[in-house]
Amino acid sequence: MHNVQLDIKGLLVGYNTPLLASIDLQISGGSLVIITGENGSGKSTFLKHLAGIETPISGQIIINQTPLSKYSVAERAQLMALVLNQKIDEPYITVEDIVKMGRYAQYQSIVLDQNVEEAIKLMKIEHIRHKYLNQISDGEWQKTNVARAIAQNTPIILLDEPTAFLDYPSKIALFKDLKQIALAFNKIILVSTHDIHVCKNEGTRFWHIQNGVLTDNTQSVW
Amino acid sequence: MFKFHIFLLILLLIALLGVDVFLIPNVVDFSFKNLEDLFILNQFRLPKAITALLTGSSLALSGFILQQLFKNQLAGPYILGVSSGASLFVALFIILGASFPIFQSLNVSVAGFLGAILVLIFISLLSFKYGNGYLILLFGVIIGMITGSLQTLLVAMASVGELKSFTMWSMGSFSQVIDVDLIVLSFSAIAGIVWAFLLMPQLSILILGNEIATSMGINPKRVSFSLLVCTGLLTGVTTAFCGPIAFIGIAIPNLVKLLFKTVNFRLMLFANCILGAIMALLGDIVASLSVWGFQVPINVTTTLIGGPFVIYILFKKRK
Repeated sequence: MHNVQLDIKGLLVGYNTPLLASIDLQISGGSLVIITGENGSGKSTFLKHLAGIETPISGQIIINQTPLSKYSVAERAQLMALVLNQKIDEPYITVEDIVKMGRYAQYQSIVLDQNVEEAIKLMKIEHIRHKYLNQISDGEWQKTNVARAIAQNTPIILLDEPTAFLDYPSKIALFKDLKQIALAFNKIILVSTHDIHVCKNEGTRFWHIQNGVLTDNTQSVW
Repeated sequence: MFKFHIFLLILLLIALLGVDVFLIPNVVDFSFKNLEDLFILNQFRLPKAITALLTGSSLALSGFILQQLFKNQLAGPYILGVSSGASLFVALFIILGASFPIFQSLNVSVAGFLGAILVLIFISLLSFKYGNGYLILLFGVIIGMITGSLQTLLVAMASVGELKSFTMWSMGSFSQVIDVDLIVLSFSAIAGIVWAFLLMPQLSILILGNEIATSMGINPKRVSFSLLVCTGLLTGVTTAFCGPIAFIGIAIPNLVKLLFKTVNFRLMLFANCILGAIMALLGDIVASLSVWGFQVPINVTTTLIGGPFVIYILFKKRK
């Protein structure tokens, strides 16, 4: 995969008033970026701005030398996949249905292809692929969502607290898998989490948000 | 598995079409010795069955789209006041003689479409502000009441001839949609169904929430607006020609969900259209039975068939 480059220049995130101080960062493909911070510190808001769902107050998000605002919604979907920490209310949707939806960005249609199979296998959810959402646990729901983002097959993946409901072994396994994906396919994966102790050995970069300031803590964590 | 279900439903639909056209209220004499029989078949029974088929499909599909968009199982064109909006505009057209500068059958359809779309836009704005819960259903009921009283006012102002034509229309009927009217109805129903078919993958991704849908390349506002216009077309035009028809739009989408239990929305679209047509034909067959001695209004039969089923859904949900 082409080596992706994400540049953040003077980014002010927030709704009307800035939530975080101006952010300037650069990331290249093959990175697993761990973002930590207390509840309400602005991790999710930051990820939503990166995904282009929220419009920044000022500054630029540049992907492969082109500002995010220049990409259409459909083009963005081929560059970035997003997982938010939220539930849905639909009784008759299966795990496989959700992962298949990840292919919409490529085909403008919901299809079962090799990417879907690989994502399901990677997240180890084969045994629940035909189960409805009300038949699976919160942890399995999170794995399903991550599988959907992986199936979207984008160079950048943004995950908001994907390990919140996972058991300890699953947390370790997920971070290991994410690192492997990031390195093997030259992707940028940004993960917000409270489980810093679990991913210390897996993250390639560590950002921390405190008192409205996002700092690169990579050196101190290592 | 699903294909077999659809196949069975199509067989049932064809059987009911046959019954409605050839057997009810009396058996057609296929020798056609009497030319009047052929005339009745061509000018009355066949158009009536086609109208029932198109109307049932349109209303069930509208109900399905509205239930998905508003994420409310009890939404539907009748309950949300969409049919009432269409009715009011058609009443205005019939009774006040207001007309648009196009020919007659298009006038009524345009009136129905405008009434439906205005209510849909209003309900969408409310849903945007206050969410999709019981409040929009309540608004729908109130809109129905307001448009109902405005219609009563119009009826009070109407002459005897207008009154009869409006009263007959408001009780719901699949007959009298012939020639140009039937062409306009067929065209708008087929256009609405094809348009909805194209939008089904986007509608299914909206299940994941607007933010995730956006990250997957969908513009939720644009998709929702397109689907609302599509629903306005389907409900508005059918209401304009057949009157406000109750319960197909709420009962059928729930039945389809129970039967198919899937989010393959293109399949659900077909299932809704076929089952909607089946319910409309069933309603028409029961209404046309010779035992009554008169033509029972369609709304009576669709309500008697659909009403108990919706009560069942409510109880099931409560459990």
